[in-house]
Amino acid sequence: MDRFYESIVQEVQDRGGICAITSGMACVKYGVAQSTKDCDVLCDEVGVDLMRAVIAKATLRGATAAYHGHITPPLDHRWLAGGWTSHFIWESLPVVPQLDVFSVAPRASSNWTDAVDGLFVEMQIVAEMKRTDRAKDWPFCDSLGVKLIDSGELTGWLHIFEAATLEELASGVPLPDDLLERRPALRLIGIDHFDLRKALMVEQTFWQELDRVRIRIHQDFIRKYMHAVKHDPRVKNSPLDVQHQLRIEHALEWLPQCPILDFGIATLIEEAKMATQRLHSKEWMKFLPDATKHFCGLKRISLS
Amino acid sequence: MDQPTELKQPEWMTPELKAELKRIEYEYHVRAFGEEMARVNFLPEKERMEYLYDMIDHAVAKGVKFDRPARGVS
Repeated sequence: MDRFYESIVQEVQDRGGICAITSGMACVKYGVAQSTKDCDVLCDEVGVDLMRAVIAKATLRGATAAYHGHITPPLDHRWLAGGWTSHFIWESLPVVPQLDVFSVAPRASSNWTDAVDGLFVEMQIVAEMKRTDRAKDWPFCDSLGVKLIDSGELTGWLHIFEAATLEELASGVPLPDDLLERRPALRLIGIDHFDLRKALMVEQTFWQELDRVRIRIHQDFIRKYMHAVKHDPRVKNSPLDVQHQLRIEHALEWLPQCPILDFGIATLIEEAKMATQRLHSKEWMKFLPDATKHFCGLKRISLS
Repeated sequence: MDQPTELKQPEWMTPELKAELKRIEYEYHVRAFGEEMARVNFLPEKERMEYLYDMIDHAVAKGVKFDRPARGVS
């Protein structure tokens, strides 16, 4: 299955698109095993159009690609640049492969297109993307953080959320001031073990709440779009290119291009902070990082 | 033709620290993922992938569903 996904990404790259595998498959590549048969792929503007063409002709054991469910937004840069994700499946196989394509790496603090290494996006981006609302993703952040340090990248300090690991690293690995600025909780290393653990818990809660608000903002709009696609008689059993045009038609009516920018990044962060404060207390808020730069790449594209 | 060279390591990365980092990493993997997966994670890439494929095949044979719902956002 991995070869199948890799061949898709390779073809998009060969034809001039910027494209890279991230998430679970990237973790496996970097030595943090995750049992996944799905693939998440980042694509730039050129890559999205190429990806659509490559997916349309990619067959796996005779199965052809289809949009996954009525909920999936069109694979079109005008929506993907605003934070939406397109999902594809190859039906009629015993294990249905799923390919998720997006243009914006959630929570990335730098441009992912500058961090492509072969078929994969670099560890730094993968680690930031793993700060999700799902508990199972967090050990991958720590693991990638240690791997970054092991490869000589001190930015690994930004991705480790276990106090014991941070304290062990501090005995030999330099911790530069600029990283302390970016992540205030690191100042507690070597000061007080329990305060450090508490600050790390608060940080983790904050990232989880940030993700929950982000997803909720999208879901507020997706229901009407899904309803429109589901009840459009032209959609059922239509080929991928027809499905695509119909989805664009419904997206133009129901899907705002960038719900996060419409909602406001500052408002989103503030809401996540308020939720964090409800779960912990105000005195710990000073250890939260500045999340404003973690919405890198979000933009609205002209619809014309 | 020049031979490919390894990336230059920073000055602070002594051989002793490198060994210590491997220990820290391995022990973290044991705490986070358990003994078995820690061992898998430290296998060479080809063997690691084969182990995972076997795991997935075994799980599917036992009826585990890997499907995840689409939600329009990742």
